[in-house]
Amino acid sequence: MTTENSQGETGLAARDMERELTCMIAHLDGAVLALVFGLIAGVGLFAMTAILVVEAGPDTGAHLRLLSNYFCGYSVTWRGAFIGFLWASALGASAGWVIGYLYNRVASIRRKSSATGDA
Amino acid sequence: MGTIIIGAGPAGLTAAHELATSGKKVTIIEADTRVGGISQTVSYRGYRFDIGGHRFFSKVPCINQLWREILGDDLLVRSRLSRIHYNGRFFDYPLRAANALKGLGLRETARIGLSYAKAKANPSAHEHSLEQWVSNRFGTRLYEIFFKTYTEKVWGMPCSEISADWAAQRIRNLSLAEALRNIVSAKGMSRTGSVIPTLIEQFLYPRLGPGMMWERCRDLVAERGSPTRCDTRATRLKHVDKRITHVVIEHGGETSELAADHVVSSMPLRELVQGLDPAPPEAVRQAAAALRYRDYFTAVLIVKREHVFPDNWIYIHTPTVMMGRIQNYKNWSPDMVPDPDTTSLGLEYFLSDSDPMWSQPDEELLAFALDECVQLGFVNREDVVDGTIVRMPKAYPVYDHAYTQNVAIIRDYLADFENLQTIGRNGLHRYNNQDHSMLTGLYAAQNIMGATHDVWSVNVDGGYHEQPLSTAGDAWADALSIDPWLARKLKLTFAQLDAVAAGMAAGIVSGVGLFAATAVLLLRGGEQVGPMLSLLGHYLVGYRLTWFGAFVGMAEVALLVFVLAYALARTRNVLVKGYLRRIRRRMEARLSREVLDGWQ
Repeated sequence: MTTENSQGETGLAARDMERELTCMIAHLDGAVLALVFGLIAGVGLFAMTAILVVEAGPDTGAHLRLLSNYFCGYSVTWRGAFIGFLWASALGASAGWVIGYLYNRVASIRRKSSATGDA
Repeated sequence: MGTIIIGAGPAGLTAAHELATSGKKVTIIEADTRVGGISQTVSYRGYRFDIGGHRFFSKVPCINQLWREILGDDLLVRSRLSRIHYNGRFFDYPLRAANALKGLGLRETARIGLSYAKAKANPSAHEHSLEQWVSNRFGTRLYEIFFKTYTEKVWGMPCSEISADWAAQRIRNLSLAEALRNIVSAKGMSRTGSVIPTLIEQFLYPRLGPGMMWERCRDLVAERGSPTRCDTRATRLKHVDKRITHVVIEHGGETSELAADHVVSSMPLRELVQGLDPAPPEAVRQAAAALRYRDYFTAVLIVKREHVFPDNWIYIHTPTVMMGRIQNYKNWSPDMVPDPDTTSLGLEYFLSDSDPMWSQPDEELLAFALDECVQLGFVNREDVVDGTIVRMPKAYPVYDHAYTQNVAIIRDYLADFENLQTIGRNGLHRYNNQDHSMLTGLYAAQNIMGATHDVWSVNVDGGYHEQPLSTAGDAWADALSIDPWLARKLKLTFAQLDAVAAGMAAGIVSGVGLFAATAVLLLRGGEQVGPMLSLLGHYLVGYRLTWFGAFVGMAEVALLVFVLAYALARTRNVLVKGYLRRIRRRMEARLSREVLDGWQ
């Protein structure tokens, strides 16, 4: 190993790694996104419903109950909270998975285009 | 017959320990009267002191294990404090901006900043010398203040003549990967659980100095039937058909021969080549003769004061004195002094054994050192009650511009000897710390027992000995010599988001979501369709609870969310890049410490 080579390797190692990392495009894990989105949506709707059920005023949940237009069986009751949890979890998980899938597809297409000089 | 180990320093005694533990017969030859080589601890009237300072830390698990095995509870955990003395002021080490600004003043700081910017904008194209290497990273002004004077004191030649290899080797252990590993794994620990040395402010130190380790090691080896012969010099190595047959030794003016199955030598390469009998070819002898070494002496002053300064050691950058470094042994371990009301200081002077000063009487050297110590304001003359001088020849192999080629010639020649291995700092003419020297000894011993280690690769192949190499065929990990586990973690943590892809994915899902929500209500019908959802019309121009409105809303939401997600992804990428850059810069800042620490 010559002086110049060993210098180059050592001096550039940190910057090389930094450059490599910052040039690398992240791949999203659809399953993980689905889990995260599903949990946030499901737990979120359950919590919102639960708060209104606990408050239990005369016109409690007038707006939230409109979700029954989309979530069959949903109501501002304890039973509805669990049903809403299932619906929202499913919807959130679907949205998360689709976002991950679309992101990876688009990123892959763009990477290939970039590699072949199309972009 | 058996193995003859020349040199009872860390490398030689580690090799001896390994062989003796495996029941092999070993004879250790040491020219000095004490064991430990440059890691010995000298005692003078009960005051113990190092030849230099030897912090015990290593990334090599088996070396840490050996230290603990031999020293047990006598291995202390010590806090580190070291500063730089420059023109009457003390600077924190590693350098801290506020402290440096205060010490140097605004004008000097501005000059440093400008020269740093200049170095970054227009770095030297070549990095052959230490001067170019440091200037490219820190700027010329910082180099002149904090590197040049001290480095030239140590090596006795201009930084422009010192090979950049030296700095490169000193920082090799500090990698960005290791710093990043610290982030993605447990804080302050590597994946294997070992403490990352460059990230700690503490070190291990034997209660009675590093010599304690080697004295114990010598005793352990002796108990297993392998004695160490001190004050015995190996003068010739007789060889036949590229095999060392006998080592000629000299003790007390008497010469004798020891037959050898294997020879492991940590003696300086120059002397080894000169001692080969028959002599090697002229080119090899010339290469050996051209190898240079740096010697130094320590002037130990016994001071009748309980406290002198709080540091373990101080680098003396002040150009008006010859002193390179001052040690306060009591701060390494309280047991280094017999009387807690006194302090022993070690004033270190780097020179060559051909300098007239080297052979000056001890009294003159002590007087000279005392003058400088008083001049720097560390002690009052009347406080110093005693002192002694310890000389250490060939303490450092010199990395001049020719050394690489000369070592390669010698190495090629010695490679043909089937039963000779060279180890240690001088045996390899490589600036190894204690742990790497020990590793070379360990490898040499294991080679004798059938292993096939490349001793010369120690402290050359980056973290090869400290971390597993990539085996999973990950090209990226392979290229950067990091293991696949770390590569995966790094990718997960630092890879950039494709902002366009993120925007499109989130935009499409949101747009379709609003369209679906609108469509569901339209299909359900009724007198008043979607009174709440239609309120979105306040934000989305043209949005109504109609089929046309559904398409308008979808397009608008898709666009809006696209912009939002794109901006979020870009922001995240910028933050991650900035964070990564910050880590790299902090790591590079630590280079200053690594460069100076190299002399220990």
